[in-house]
Amino acid sequence: MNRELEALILAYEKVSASQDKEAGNYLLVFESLLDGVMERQPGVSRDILRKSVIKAHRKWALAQDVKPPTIPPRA
Amino acid sequence: MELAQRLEKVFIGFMSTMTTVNLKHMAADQGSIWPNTRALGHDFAKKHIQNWCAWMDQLLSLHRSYFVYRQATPAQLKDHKTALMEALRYGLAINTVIAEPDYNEPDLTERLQVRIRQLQDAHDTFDDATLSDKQAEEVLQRVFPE
Repeated sequence: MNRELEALILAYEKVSASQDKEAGNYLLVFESLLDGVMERQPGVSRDILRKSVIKAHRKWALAQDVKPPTIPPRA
Repeated sequence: MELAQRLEKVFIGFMSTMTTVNLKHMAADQGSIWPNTRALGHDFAKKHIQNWCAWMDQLLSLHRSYFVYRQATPAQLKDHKTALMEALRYGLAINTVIAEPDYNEPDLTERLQVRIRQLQDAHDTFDDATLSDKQAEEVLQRVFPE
């Protein structure tokens, strides 16, 4: 897998795995990584790229051997 | 504890908090004729949004565990998409209240808006008419060549 795409997937994984204020901080990291890619890809829609990375994150998650428990943590 | 029981507990906790908030303000205003309605309304909305955020955390945890890391059945997915859409609609509705500058709860506003973004992402993962899985693959191949 392309290293830049992998970094984006792992950054989104942190967003997905976090809650409360932590989620906002990780979301900022993910968005800034995406902005970095966009600077070098002027012809690409940011929204489409963002959605594509999130779809890739799900594909990546499905392939993982270690999965989060099916009962979510308490709020 | 079963998931349904946990969710019920969140709801009951919310209703209990609401009662406490109201009584607190009424007690503080015993000496006046007019209760502090603005503070009452503000606290009521704040507690409600905090509880709503806690519920969204639960929903997003469910999404992650059952629908991102695992393949759900079509029936489960259909229910989940409806739940995400309803949560998103409600989140957007309360965002219009909390985002007003005179509400002045920036932390809570940010927390809600992050949840809305996450709910939208969760929904789009499965139900986005603007981008098929094949199109997404093509975009990624183009932007991130192996």
